Amino acid sequence: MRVEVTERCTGHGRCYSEVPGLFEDDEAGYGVVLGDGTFGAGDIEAARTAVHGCPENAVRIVP
Amino acid sequence: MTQQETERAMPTGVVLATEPMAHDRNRGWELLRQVGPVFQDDLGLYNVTTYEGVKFVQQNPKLFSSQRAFDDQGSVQQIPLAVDPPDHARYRRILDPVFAPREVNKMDVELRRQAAELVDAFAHRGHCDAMNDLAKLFPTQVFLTMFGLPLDDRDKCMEWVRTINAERVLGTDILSDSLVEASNALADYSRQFIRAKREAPGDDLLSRILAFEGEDEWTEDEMMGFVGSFINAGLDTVTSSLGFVFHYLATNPDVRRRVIEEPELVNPIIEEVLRLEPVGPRIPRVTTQDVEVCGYTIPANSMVLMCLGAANRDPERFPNPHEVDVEQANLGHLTFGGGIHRCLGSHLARREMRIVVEEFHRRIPEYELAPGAEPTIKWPAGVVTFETMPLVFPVPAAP
Repeated sequence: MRVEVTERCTGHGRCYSEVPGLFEDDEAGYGVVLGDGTFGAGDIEAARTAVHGCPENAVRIVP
Repeated sequence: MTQQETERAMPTGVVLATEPMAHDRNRGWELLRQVGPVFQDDLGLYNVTTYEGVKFVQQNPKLFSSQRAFDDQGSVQQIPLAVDPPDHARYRRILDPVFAPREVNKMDVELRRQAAELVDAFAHRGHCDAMNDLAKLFPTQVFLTMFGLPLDDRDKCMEWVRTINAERVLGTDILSDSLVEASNALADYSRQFIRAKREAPGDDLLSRILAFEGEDEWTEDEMMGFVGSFINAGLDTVTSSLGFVFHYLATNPDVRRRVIEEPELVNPIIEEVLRLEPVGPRIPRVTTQDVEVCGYTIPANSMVLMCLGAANRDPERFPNPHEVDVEQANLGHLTFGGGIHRCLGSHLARREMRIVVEEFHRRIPEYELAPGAEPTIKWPAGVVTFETMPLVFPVPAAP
């Protein structure tokens, strides 16, 4: 599974602040996934935190 | 929306009473939340109180115009706050990187030095006023620092902004003489330093924006609009938020001691206080057409107010709506807005708050409200804030 940040992102920065293991900030302060966003079973809770915490519903988990 | 909701009549004539809001925002917002998801206040303005309802307004800027909501606030258009799509994107493309965390990081050392200096000025005294000695001073210094202006201009800038914010009445076009005078003085000051920076650029935010050329070049009016927006949205807001954080920490000594032992709790505590105490508690928009919100129809050309204090306590979203709970801090809040107008300065504001709390605690870990002090807010108001917050604390032993 992997996480992705969609075009709904408006740069709140919650994903990379709360879940720095899966996301980072770009030069405009918008969220981007680390690498290709792939994560292991141990990170599922962290991924869900990012999904639920995004005020724009811009973070999603894809198979 | 269910049929039943659609048929329910919208409450009207709702009075925004001073009490209990002045003393107790939990009760104040809960009373408004219980009026309904959408209601009309006694000025006829439409208020939205649910988390999903406010998000709907934030995320549909074509239905809810920010430009028209801020039209009445002076002759200069506030940039980018009072700009609708599609022009809005052009400004944010330039401004987002300027206010990104990476840029904020570069200022951290200097801002910490300034915060420490402000705290050092009273740390030996055993008492301070958290608002007047610290929270009101620091955000204005940050503004001056970012714009490459002398810190000596701090007090006069603070006074203009205080007058403008204190005398503006939401939803009306009443302009008092002192408001007009302060607005003009601030505008003259801004125009002068914009021209000076254009002549002699420095290593600051303003010079950076002035350096853009071609289609990204900004006119003087655009620069004025941006400066106005920064001053309007970025000074009193941080001041007020700092007041709410210090009030919470001063009146919850167990939490404060935990924060001092576990510094990683500073951020979630700040987020939760931001959730419970949005300083711009009712953010306006104007409908561009008839639009349905939470099953109620709001007519075209109506002023809509997003009641952030109510939406941030929506039990549908927050398991522990009325308390600071670090466990739910990762659920976020609507205090910095959302959609295309997400607060441009949110990353800066968060850092300012963290720096001030950390530098204060480094020097003054134990403190409480002065005996008899009971900070209250004025309500209703465009920006809610404590005007004064006397704190007392043990004086550190002389080295």
